[in-house]
Amino acid sequence: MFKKEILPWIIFAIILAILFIMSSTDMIIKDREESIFPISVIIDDTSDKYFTNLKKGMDRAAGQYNVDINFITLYENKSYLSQLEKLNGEIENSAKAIVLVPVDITKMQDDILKSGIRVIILGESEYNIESVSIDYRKAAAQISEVLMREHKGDYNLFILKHGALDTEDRVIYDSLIKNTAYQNIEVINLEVNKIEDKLAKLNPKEENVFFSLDKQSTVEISDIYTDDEILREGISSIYGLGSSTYILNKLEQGIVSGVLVWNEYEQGYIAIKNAVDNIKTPGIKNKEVLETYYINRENMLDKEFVRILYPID
Amino acid sequence: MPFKKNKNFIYNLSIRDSIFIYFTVTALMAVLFIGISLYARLSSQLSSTLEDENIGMVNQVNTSMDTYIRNIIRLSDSLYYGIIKNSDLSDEFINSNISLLYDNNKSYVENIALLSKEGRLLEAVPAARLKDIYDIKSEEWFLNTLRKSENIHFSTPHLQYIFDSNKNHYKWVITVSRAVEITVGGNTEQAVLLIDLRYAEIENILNNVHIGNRGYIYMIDSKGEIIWHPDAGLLYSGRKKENNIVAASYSDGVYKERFDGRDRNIIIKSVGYTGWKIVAVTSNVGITLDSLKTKIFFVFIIIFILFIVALINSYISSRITEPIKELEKSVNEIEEGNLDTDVYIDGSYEIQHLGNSISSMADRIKSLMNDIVIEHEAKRRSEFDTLQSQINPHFLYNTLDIIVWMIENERPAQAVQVVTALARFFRISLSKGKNIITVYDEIEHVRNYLMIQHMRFKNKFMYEINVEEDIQELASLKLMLQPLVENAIYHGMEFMDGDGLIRIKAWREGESLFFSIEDNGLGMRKDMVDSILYNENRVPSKKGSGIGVRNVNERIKLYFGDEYGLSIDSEPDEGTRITLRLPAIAYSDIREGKKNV
Repeated sequence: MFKKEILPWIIFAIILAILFIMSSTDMIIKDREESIFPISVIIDDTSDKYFTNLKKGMDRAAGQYNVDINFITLYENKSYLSQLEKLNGEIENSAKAIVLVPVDITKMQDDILKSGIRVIILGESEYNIESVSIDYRKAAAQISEVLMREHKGDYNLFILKHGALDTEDRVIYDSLIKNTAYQNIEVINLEVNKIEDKLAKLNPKEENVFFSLDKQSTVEISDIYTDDEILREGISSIYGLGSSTYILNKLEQGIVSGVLVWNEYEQGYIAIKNAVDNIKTPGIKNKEVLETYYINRENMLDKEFVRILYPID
Repeated sequence: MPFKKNKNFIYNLSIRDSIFIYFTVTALMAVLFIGISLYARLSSQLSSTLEDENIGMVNQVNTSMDTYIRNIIRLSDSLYYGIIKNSDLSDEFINSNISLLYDNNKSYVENIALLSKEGRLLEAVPAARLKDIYDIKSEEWFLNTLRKSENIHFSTPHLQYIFDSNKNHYKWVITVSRAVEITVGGNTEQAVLLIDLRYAEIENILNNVHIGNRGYIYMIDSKGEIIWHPDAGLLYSGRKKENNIVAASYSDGVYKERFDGRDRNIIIKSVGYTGWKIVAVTSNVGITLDSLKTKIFFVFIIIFILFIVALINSYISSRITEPIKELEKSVNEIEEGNLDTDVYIDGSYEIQHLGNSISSMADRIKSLMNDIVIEHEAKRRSEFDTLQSQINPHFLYNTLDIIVWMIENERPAQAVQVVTALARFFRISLSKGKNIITVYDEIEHVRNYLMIQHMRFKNKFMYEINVEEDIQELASLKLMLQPLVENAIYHGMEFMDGDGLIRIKAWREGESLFFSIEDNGLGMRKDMVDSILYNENRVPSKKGSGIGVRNVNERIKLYFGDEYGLSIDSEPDEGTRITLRLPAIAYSDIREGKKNV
């Protein structure tokens, strides 16, 4: 009888005590601590000169999502092995995720998957790795269309790249081969060959169109055009993939005919955001595709493009 | 009859449980009602307070923007009225004066330039060149400035592209332009004064504004174009949306809108002169319990109050029902037959009164039970006496003596009469053990007795028996008349010498049956009459049946009730008359169980 009377009160009191502990102390429910997410960004270059807009987007996302970004450039050796070394180093430094601009994803993908760390690729990836990239096929088609539109006769097409062509470059190269009416097509690796040497051998009477697969190459060829009156003769048009303020200045001056761009600010922002999402909810595999736009002198100041090319942040 | 519990749970609740449950539920409902009302009221109050604070914050920002704009206008005025208007452009001090003003304000000024109406750069601080790829005079802002020469024009944020700048940097500015009159070589011309304001300064004013309840602030121009937004980059890339175009249509005030699936509050405040609007956006959700711990705390408070209320209710209901329970225990004891138990008399007035009543009831039951016991005992005794008297040995011996004498004296016919009368007498005396017989049998019984006694006492007395015909089948008590007649013979007729008379009558009056035994014998004094009826210590006469008048009276009362019995009228030397009153009940009714005696 005693137990029957007193038991509900005891249970009642226990429930109250538990509720009090849950609501007013940290013993059961711990206050959500604002976690700081350490994320490393490893690029494929020795300088971050051409990643300004990307960094602005990343910084914006870092502020919103409590991220501590460690921006890492390569040393002199721009090889996939040195990138892997950097990647392993960041894993040891307790990075929760890596944003990677891969030197060569095909050679790196196995090691990336084995590492077990969350990796976001800034570039196309056929593998089961998250990526934020442009559609290279679509970009290739856009470039091909521009070249077809702006160059009617036979012309020599020179494809410039610092380093060997990777998978993404090959997509563009293949498209250009198929879809443009070039007379000759040649790939020039500026790590190995000096552009000046090539220009010196060109016939200035022929139409020589240069397409740069990276910003550095675009800058180099446009600098030569600006600074060297003789070599300039052998350059009919310069096109490029990607932009920077410097390249846009050259575009404004008419030195560069056109560039294929995307919103690098957005790319940086999404990369960090997705990395944080992946840390919070492991297993998410997003492949984000960004729009590409052909910019020339006529449309570079259009409202639609000016904020992409010159992000305010 | 065993107490059966009602199948409905509610009806089986004890008083304590009922009081507890009803009071607790009522209190809980009251607490919830008060709690919810207060919560809603406070929430509304807080929301209102928050809104007022947000409005205050927006007003503050507006004041800052206003001050900023005024400073810009003041700078523009200083440049124009203080330097340009009253000077000739050929004057070499113009540039240094402009530079001075620039230096004082360069924290928020990017460029100051003076352009001719043809679009030529006249002055620029810091020194700069115009890009020759752009024709300034065909630019929309330039034409607009010259067209509306009375106004100072504020542009929306834009990329500064007209000046030759650092190749690796770009600037976002807000251009403030106005048409001015310049003097060049004594000639007055129209020109455009241009001040490029650093966009960062606008950002500084707006970026650190915190609007409560997860809100934010942004600024638009009169057409809704965004001047500053905390997520501008995402807006331009299409990752985020804003209702800026609609906001531009609102005048100053507070509005509620639904955008992107969410309800929100909008505060609009116009910035003077520019037509810009500051838009503060807050969630429309009131002050809510948005943390798990707060929700649990709210539940804890409710349960705690419920706990206290239940505790108090339990105590109160116990105080009320404990006395009832104790009383119930006492009643259970009484129910089980323990009438001597102490009845609980305590608690509230009603319970005490109830206890008293139950105690009195128990005493009364005890008394009644005792009376029944006594009554049964008396009945049993009188029945035992009756039983005993059914075979009275003295009467039997005497009667047998008479029979023997009659046989010896060759009076067989009389002997047969006496034997027959004796047989009938004893047969009716026994009556198979029944105590109630018919009037006919009772009269027969006394008739046979009288006959025998008449013979025995050698005609010392005569007797008459008158019985109404229609009462023969009524019920009578056995051995009721014979003891009285016996007394009449032994005490009344003893000294009579042949003129003694015993008269027996039986008649009905209404619902009563009467018998009377009258004799003309010695009679009795009143005290003797009383002694016969009421004296328990009186020893019954050994001559008679031994039952006595008192026994007959008691037996009548026992079987038929106190209102029946016998009465004695007697006068010394005159005789005695005993009247018996019984209820007139048909013997068949008693036999068939229709009536109980």
